[in-house]
Formats: sequence, structure tokens, C-alpha cells
Amino acid sequence: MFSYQKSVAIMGTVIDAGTEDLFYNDMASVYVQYAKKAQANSEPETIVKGDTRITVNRVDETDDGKDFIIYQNYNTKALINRTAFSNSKRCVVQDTIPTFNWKLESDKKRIGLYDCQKATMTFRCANYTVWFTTAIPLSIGPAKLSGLPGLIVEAYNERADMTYKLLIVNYPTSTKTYKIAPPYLGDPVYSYEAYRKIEVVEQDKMMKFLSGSADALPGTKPVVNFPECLDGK
Amino acid sequence: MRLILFLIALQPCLCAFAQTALRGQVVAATTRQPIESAYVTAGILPDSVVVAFARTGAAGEFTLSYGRDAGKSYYLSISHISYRTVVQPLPADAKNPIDIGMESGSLVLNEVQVTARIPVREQGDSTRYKVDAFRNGSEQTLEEVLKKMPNVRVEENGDIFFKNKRIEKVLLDGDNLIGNAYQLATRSINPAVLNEVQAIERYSDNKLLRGVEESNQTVLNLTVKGDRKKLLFGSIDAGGGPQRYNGSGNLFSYTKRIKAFAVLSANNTGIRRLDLSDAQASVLPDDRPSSEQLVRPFTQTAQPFVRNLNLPLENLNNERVGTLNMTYNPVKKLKITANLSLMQDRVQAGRFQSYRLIGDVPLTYQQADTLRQRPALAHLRVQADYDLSAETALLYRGTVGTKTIDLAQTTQFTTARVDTTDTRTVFPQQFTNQLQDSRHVLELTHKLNATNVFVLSAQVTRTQLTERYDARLNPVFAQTLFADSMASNRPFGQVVAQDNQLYVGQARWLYGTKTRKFEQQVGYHHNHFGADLTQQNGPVSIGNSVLTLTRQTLYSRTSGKLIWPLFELWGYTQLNHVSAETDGERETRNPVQANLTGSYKLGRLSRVILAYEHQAAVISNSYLLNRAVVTDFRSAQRGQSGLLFDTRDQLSLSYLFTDIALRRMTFFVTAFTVRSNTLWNFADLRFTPDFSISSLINTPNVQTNGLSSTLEKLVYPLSGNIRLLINVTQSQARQVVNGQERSTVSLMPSITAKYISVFESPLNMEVVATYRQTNLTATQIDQQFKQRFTAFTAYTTFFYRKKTWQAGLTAELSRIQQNDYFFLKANVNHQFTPRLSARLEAQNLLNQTSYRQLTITPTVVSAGVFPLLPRMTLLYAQYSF
Repeated sequence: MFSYQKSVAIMGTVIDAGTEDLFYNDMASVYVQYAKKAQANSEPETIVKGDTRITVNRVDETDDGKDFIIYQNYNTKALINRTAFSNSKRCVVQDTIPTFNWKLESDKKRIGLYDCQKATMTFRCANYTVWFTTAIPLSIGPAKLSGLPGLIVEAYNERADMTYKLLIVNYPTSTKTYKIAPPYLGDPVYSYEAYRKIEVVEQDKMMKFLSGSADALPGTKPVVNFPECLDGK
Repeated sequence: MRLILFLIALQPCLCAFAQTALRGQVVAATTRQPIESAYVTAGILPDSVVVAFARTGAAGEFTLSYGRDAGKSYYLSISHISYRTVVQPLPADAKNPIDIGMESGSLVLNEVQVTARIPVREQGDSTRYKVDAFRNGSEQTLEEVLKKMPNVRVEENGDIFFKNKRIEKVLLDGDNLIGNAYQLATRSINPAVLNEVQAIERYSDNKLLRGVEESNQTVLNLTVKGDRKKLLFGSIDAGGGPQRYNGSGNLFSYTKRIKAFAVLSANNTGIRRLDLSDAQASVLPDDRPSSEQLVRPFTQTAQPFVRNLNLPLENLNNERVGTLNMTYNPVKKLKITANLSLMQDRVQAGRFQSYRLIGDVPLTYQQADTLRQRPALAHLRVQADYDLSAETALLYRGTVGTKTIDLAQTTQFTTARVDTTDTRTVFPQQFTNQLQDSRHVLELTHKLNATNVFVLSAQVTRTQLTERYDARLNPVFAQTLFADSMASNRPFGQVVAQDNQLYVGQARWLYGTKTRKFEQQVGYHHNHFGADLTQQNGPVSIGNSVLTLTRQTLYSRTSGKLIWPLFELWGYTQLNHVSAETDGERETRNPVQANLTGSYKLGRLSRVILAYEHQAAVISNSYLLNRAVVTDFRSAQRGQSGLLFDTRDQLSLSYLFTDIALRRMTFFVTAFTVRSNTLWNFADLRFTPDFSISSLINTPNVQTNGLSSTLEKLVYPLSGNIRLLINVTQSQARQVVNGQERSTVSLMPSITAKYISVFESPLNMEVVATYRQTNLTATQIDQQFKQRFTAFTAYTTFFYRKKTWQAGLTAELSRIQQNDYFFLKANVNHQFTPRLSARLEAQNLLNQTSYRQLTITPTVVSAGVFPLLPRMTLLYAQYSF
């Protein structure tokens, strides 16, 4: 088990978004955002900064008591993701494990016990900067990230200003177990393309609502930072 | 020659981009089985920077392409989670496929902990905010930074709320150096000196009770940055203008054993940093328990006034406040905390009020006052905490204080009854109210184990009140209006001295886990009250009078709370044995108080609450048993006298929905039924010449049923950046009083439309218009009283923001019941250096002088005319050191 602490920076203010766990075996992995953790983190935050913008962070609400899960099968290359539309309706999206075009950088730093090296890439409009360690030769990381010759210890999504930091490594896991299986928990199942079409419409609705409802300082406008864009780039 | 050198220099660069491809297979060393999903990486020594990597396929095969720099040495590393990592030099000319064998050996990883630096962190009951993460440099005070913190709200009067719960006090580095009247500090502390703001829920003052006691208290703890903790540091903010000044300064001092914090402030701009409005309180104790669940069936409707301009009413003041607070740790086990507060003010105001009483005897009257008030306060608090052992602690808390209010007043009454109109003028009168109090508490706490704690405490309180009164006519309007037995224009003067002593002994046993709380209290109160009235002169001679009262209360209180994930149940039962004695007469009563409340969480945003409450509070003047002065009117009619209790039974069912993040709305609806033996007990103890004040509208055996609902801050996006904010408060209640029915129905909607510009420029604007309506219908006996009024307000603010310059201009128009008010205010701020800034503030530029306010309760309608602060312009400088 690998635990990551997720945090989101909102106009320079870093908000703790809870701890998420990665469970792995040779064939597959699940990355879990726990329902109870999300509840403990109270309300989605709306932060107002005293200049011309308001940034609203989208915190996925898992108040139906079921976890959000990213399942990856390394044999079939299937990536099955239990997530939510912007209208909070839950769904399961069938995707494939992406092939990330990692660029290895020569920068190195020590994080905790591990010597880490920097790598960068762009996926669905988001620029990622990660630090991985070859001391743990597992090609895995937080959320959907993978494909490096070692475990990702720290990852930064520039688009969402979101950071994952490795908190606890316990492998093979001795403290916590989780069923590594596709997250078919009764939600409607969509292909990625079908999900994308619906979500484009839902995000547009959400933006219209936020631009009217953000009770912010004069001269503010909402910016919603999604970790991925939907235009397929 | 230069060309040759250049070519030599260039040569390694050309070689650096030579692409090399390495092929091979990875197999298990012993079985020669191919290894899939092993990582083959090429790295540069000595830094071990990975330049390329490949993953082995099903047959263990790989192809590794990398750019090779001939000047550097390379290594090849092959790793797999189930095998030992192989590292070997990477030959420059490896053209043939290579074969790599790996030894088996699983990798077991110990825990690695990476501590993230996060400005907001929740740790159990405390939420910690890194102050610097919320600053952009333009904030003058801590209050402005608090407003930006998620889950923190600051009201206009300076009250701070965390998760919608009011902060009861503010601590400085864990010590009570700021206390309950924290507005003085939060409106003057420079945020640059602070490291963290910590909001602590379920806080217990007694550290041994933390986690065991069921506490509702939420406090803020401020921590100062380590590098600022030196002998002296702080800030000064001073402003002045024509006839006006406003300044405040705060000073910190940190040494090894002593920590100190001081605030000095003075202004004559209407800012009231310390409120003495309760200074004239009677010395008699109030036994009424406070409860969050109690419903107030009637909605008092006050005509809303525009908050935007922050214009306080009738507040031409001259306030000077200073506090000095310090802690001293002579040894590790002992901590001494002292707080000294000094305050003086001078308030002058004129006001005109018109009342219409709609009680049993309907009448109207007008009152015009000219007031000059001089409150003053000195208060010293000392606390000593001594740890006898890790489980046992002794606490002493002592306070001594004195408050004085000097009031000079000229009042004119005009009354109109059914048949007559009468005007009475009260000539200048002087009133002095001087309160001295001292309180000493000794508390011994012993923690038996993690879940059980015992507390023993003893308390001695003494309160002395001296009231001196000189006038030309008795000002108590009830006397003048109804008895009409007084001769006018006669001088009148009296002195009343009251002395109240209270001795309390109490034992508590507390048991608490995260999901279960239980507390048993047993206590004894001994209360001795004496009043001595001396009449100096007056139209009717009543002579001198001495009253004494002894009251003893023995009580047992059991309370508990049970917590499940979705459901919470809490409540208490208190059994009392009360006896009171005066002039040899003695009475005893055994009232019971109880509460039971359940709360069920329907979802993340909504809950239902079912509550039952039984209250029994002594009617304060009924302590004095059968004295004529204290028997309330209705009770006397029913032949009751003596030690009387105001009992009240209430059952309520509430639904609460709150979504502050997205919809920003709260909806709260309550259905309730209340039964009380006295609804309005006008229980003022007044020593006027013949002691004959009694309640006019005290009506026994009242049952009230009703429904009240509130919708707060519903935000509806109209289009683009225009949105509507909707508030609706509705309340209806029906009462049966002695077989006669009375009812009140009120509805108060308010709609605000708001537009905010989003120009990509430093200049932007905000336009807001609000329409409010107030409807109240009260039916009582045979009279129906209806009131309906509307208020319309619109304002526009232009604001300009650059990094070191900020400016704003606001114009506001209000129309309230055919009266128009028009205001202008402006401000400019410039930051010279991070430590020095200047600003210009101007308000009420058109010099509006007065404001009319209408207030309605089910029994009284009153209209008042109040003065507003005049035109003011002040230039400020702020410096921190």
C-alpha cells in the first residue's frame, strides 16, 4: 500500500484534500479516494482572493459512502474509473491506461529516504511534474500516473494546482487491505468518449451557475480547475 | 589558431547526441525464465541521473534507446520488485543483444513519511491556519486576514464565527491574554507577527477535562512567529482629521518567563471597542438556563437600516481603552495570568421615541431625551494554575472590578389615552450607577484515568451596587401614566445601596469518550442579598427602607450525550431544592429543569432536530416573598405570592439545511409548542417612592403554538455576473391566554440584486439594490394591529486596486417609509514599505444628521429618531516594529 497526501493550492493557499491510497499487485492496482475521508474534510472550499479572481476548487463529494476508485489492469490495459460528473452524479468510466510521454530531467532531490529524479509530461492539457525513485522499481504513482522506472514520490498537476506527496509506503501491505477489482458498484457505466460528451455539457452548466452565485468581492470571476481537460489533447 | 580551438571545443558536443540502442533479454538467473515488467534504465555516473528506460516484454526482451555523451560514464540498471537490482557498466559499443540474469529477492519497504507543509490542517478538534498563506500585504489588522480563512466569518460588530459558531474567546499562544472582549485585539493586531490561527472546537478551559467534558465552546488560539518573539514588538495605527481622531497600538513582549500583551486605543469617531451596555445590571442573580434550542415565538421586527456604511447610531463618543495582560511562569508547575482593563467613554446624544402599547390598556406616548453618559471601568483578573501532579491540578481565579455610569438626562413625555392628552416634562436628572464586584474561585481537578475526572470547586462572589438619583420628577413612566398621583416639578432624590453575596460549593464527576459523555454535578448555593434605600427628598415621603433576603439552593444535575455516526442524543435533568427567607418568612420549592434533544443527520447538508425543554427560573423579584413590591400583578390577582417560578415547556421539531459552499443558503424551519405560566414577567426591581411597579401584561397559563421558518442567503444567478440574493423569514404563533386568543403573523422577505464587474483592469465596480418588506399582524383581545413597511436601498462602489495603491468610492441611496437618505464615502490606501502605510478615509460626506427607526413587538410599537455620525475625514499612518 502506498498512501499519498493530496493537497490543492488555491491562489497560493494550500488546502489539505486528504489521504489517498494505492494498492498494487503484479497484475493490477486500485487508487482509492475514500468516502469517509472526503466527508471529514467538510465543505468544498470557496476561496476569495483580494484581486480580480475567485477560484473555486472542485472537491469530489463522496457522500454516498462509496469510494472513488481508479482501477488499472496491466494485462488488458484497462483503466476503469469510478468518478462523478460535475452535477455530482456518480458514474464508472471505461478508459485505457494512457501511454505517457515522459521526459526525464536531470534534476534530483532527496525526499524522505529516497533519492528522486524529476520527470515531466503533458496529459489531457495538464502539465505534470513528478519526482520518482528507482529505489522502488514499481511503475506506479498517484491517480492515473504511471510509466516511470520507479515509484512516483511526488507529483504536481499544474492545471489544477494539485500536489500528491507520498506519505506512507508499506509494501507488501501489512496494515491495510483493499480488494483490487474493477469498481462496478452499481453506477451507470460509460465509455470515456460518452463520459466526455456529457461532462462537457455539465461543466458548462456549472460555470454558468458559479459565475452567478459566487458571492465574492467585486470584480471577481470564477475559475474552476479540473485536473484534466475534456478536449482530448 | 582560434578556429582550431573552436573546433576542439565543439567536438564533444557533436558526440553528445550520438543515439545508441541497446537490445537484450532479462531472465531469472537460476531458472532462465524470462522476467516481464522489469525496468532497464540507463544512467549517468556519478549522479545516477536516469537518461532512458525501457520495460521488458513477455519474453523478457527490451530495447533501450538513449543519447550517449562520450565524455561521461554510463551504467545500466535492471530492477524488478521481486528481484534484486542488477547494476553494471554500460559499454559504449554494445551492438549485440545482452543477456541479464536477476537473482530473486522480494523488496520489503518500511514506512516512509513525507510531512507536507500545508497552511490549513485539521488535527482532531483543532483547525490550524498558516497566517502568511492568507496575506497579500494589504491587510491592516488580524480581522481582515480572518475574513479570508475558509470556515471563518467575521460579523460587522467584530464577532468571529468558526463553522457558524461564535468564538467565545481568543487566546495568545495558549494563554488567556486577550479574553472574551477580543474585538479590541483582533481589530488592532498586525497579522505580520502571527504564525498560526488555530480554531479549537469543544475547548475546555481546564486542560484535564479536555476530551472528557462535553464542551460547546469554540476558541481561537493565536501563535506568534518564533523570530518575532523578542522583548518588544507590535504596531501603531493612528489617524486624525478635523475634530476627529482614531488611534490604536498593540505591544507584545516575550521573555523566557514572562509573556505580555497590551492594547491602547482612543477615538471619537463612533467606534465602540468595549461595550458597557450591561453595566446597569441588577445584582440579583439570573437563574435562567441558556439553551440553544429555545424558540422565541414572536419575531420582533426592527426596520432594517443599511449596513453598508457602518454608521453607528447615537454614538458620538470619546472612548479611551487600554488593556495590559501578562503571564508569568516562575516554575514549570505554576503559571500566573493577570489581565488589567481600563476604559473611559463620553457619549452625548439626543433622541426622540414614540411608543404605542397594545396591551390590556392601550395607550401611546412620546419621549424625547437628551443624554450625556460617562461610563468608566476598571477590571483586574488574576489566575493561578498549579499542577500538583500530572493528574491533579489546583486553580485559583480572582477578579475585582468597578464600573461607573454617570447619566444626565432630560426627558419629555406626552401621553394620549382614550380620553385625555397629557404632557409631562422631566427636568434635568442625574443618575449614577456604581457597581463593584469581586469573585474568587478555587478549583481542584483530579483525573482518575483517560475517561474519568473529578472536580471540586468553591466560589465566593460579592457584588455591591450603589445608585444615586436626583431629579425633579419621578421618571418611571408607568407611575406617571397610570397612577397619576404625583405632583410635578418637585425635587426628588434617593440613594439605593444593594449588596449581594454568593457562596457556591460544587462537585462534578465527568466521564467522557469520543462517543459517550456523562456528567454528574452536585452543588450548593447560598445567597445573601441586602438593599438599603434612603430617600433624600421627594414629593411623597416614604422614609428609609431596608430589605434582606437569604436564599439557599441545593441541586443535582445529570447530563449526557451519545454520539452515533448519524444520530446524536443529549440532554440534562436538574433537580433543585430552593428555600428563601426574608423578614422571618420562609418558603421552599422543588423545581425541576430538563432538556432532551435528538439530532439526526439526513445527509451531509441537512439534519432534523427534535427537542424538549422544561425550564423553571425564579422570578427574580419574587425572592422577596410577600412584600408588596414584588408580587406581580397577575399572581396577586390569583392569590399567589412568594417564591414564584417562571416555568416553560417547549417541544420543537426543526429541519436545518445549510449549503454554504455552493448555494450559500441556509433554510431552517421549526414547528413548536410552548406552554408557560407567565409569559411576560416584568421583573424589574425598582426602588421608586412607593415600590409599586408591577407587570402590566403578565398573563399566566399561556400556551403558544407556531411555526417559524427562515431562508437565508439563497443565491440565484440571473445571468452572467448578476445575481439575486433572497432571504425570507416567516413566523406565526397562536396563543391562548386565559381563554382569549392572540396571534401574531409576520413575513419578512428581502431581495437583493447584485452586479459585479469583471474588467481586466485595476478599476472595477459593484452595483447592489435591495428591497425589503416587513409585515406583522398582531391580534390581541379585540384589537388587531397591522404594520407593513418597505425599505429600498441601492449603492454603487467604484474601486481601484494596484499592488501598493487601493482606492474606493461608494454612493448610497435609501428610501425608508418616504424618508430618503443619501450617503457618500471614500478611501485611499498606499503602502510605502512592508512596515509603513498611509490611508485617507472619509464618510458621510453629505452630512446626513439623523435616522428614523421603527421597532415592533407584539405589545409595543416604537419609532425613534436617532442622530448619525457627522461628516468625517481622517488621515491614517500605520507602522509596525
